[in-house]
Amino acid sequence: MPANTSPIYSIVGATDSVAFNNTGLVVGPTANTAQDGSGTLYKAFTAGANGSYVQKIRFRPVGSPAATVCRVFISSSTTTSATATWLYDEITLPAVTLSQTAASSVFELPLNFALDPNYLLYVTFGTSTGSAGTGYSVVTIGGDY
Amino acid sequence: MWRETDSWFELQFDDGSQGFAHLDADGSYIGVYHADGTPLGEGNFGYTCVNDNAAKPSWAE
Repeated sequence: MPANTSPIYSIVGATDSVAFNNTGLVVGPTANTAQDGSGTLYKAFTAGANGSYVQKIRFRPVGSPAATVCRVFISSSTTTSATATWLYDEITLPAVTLSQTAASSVFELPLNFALDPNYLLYVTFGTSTGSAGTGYSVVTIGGDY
Repeated sequence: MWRETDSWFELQFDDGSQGFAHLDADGSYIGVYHADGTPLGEGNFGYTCVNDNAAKPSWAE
């Protein structure tokens, strides 16, 4: 017998960002080659007490970042052990050249799934994007149940 | 074209050691190296770029 036969909708928007969780940090200068959840990870989203629907992660270049790959991890705990932290997906981020007359390319990773209550999304970068301040503003778009 | 020519990043590894990254003019990575020019091997590494306009290391001359 299914516990719920009716679709559920988020009750309030939930937008979160790596900058919000890391005092305004532009991420990318610090690389982490690990795929097991070890090393430096940056929190991108925290699900609400009843879980959250996460729609997408958006990567907006800041400055002229070099090419890299961003890895997205799901974690059941703020203690990001290999057991509790799982590689979910990757997105290729090519080098971007800043222009003052044209918009930089924006990259989006679709998620479109319900995240368990209090679960977290973390991101890492496979190579460094440049010196401090050159990298990405990473914003997660979703809604809390 | 990301830059006019290839470029070098000066890196600080998580263990405190130094290194370099060599990037092509299109912004793609050619290689990541320890300070002595040894390529980064297999395994997990963390590092931060401390200078994205570094001079070419002497071992690369």
